[in-house]
Amino acid sequence: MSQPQTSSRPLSPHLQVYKPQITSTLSILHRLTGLWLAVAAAVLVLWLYGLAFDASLFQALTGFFSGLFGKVLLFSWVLAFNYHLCNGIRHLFWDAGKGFELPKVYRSGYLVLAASLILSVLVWLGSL
Amino acid sequence: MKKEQMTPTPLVQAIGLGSAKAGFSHWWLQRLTAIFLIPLGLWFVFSLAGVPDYSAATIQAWLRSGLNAFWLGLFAVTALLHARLGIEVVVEDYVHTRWLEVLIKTLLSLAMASAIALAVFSILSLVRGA
Repeated sequence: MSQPQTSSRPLSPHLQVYKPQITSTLSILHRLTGLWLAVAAAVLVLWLYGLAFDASLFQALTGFFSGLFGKVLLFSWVLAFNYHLCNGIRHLFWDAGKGFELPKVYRSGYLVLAASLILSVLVWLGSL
Repeated sequence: MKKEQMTPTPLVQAIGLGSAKAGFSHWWLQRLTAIFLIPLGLWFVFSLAGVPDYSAATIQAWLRSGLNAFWLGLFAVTALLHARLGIEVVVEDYVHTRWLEVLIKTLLSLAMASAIALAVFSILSLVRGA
């Protein structure tokens, strides 16, 4: 297939001079949390493999994630999961053609942020 | 505006190529796994947060009780598939060198298939108590 047009015409938007908005910020955050959760999935597989076959790997992971830095990582994965979940539901509504009006996009954006924070607090309380 | 002055658009190149073909099933599978992951993911996060501790004995006992191993396996496979589909889209969007894009997607497929096999194999042997 032929390549996309390669011209010297400027690309839009110019991200360097583009004012961040909640819409664009939440959009890129969906991708970043998705990538970050893929790292979490890899760690989960290693953890299960360690539990089944490699006791020293399991010990190392348990030690790392009971430390402060490990716990911060774990909680960042909880936050990322809840955000990606809530914003993913928002995307499913968009896929169904619903909620595209600008005021609704802003409202659902704030709703997603609030819901993912509340869910994360609930998970944290559940782990106590 | 006269026709000669108009800038040709990528649409001209796309006309006649037919439907999105395999693109649709990629998109659809991403949505299907997303929907499955809503209950599975919530179950996983709250279950794991709820176990009393993270020692090998506790986690093994948790895995062997009820259908936990089954749900965990289903969650792991679905999540890894969903991750693969998502990373593929990111790579397609940002890697513009064709051979590098194909190489990364190939390695990604290999890594994700291995991860799925490893997760299922580990869970099965944990349940059987190997």
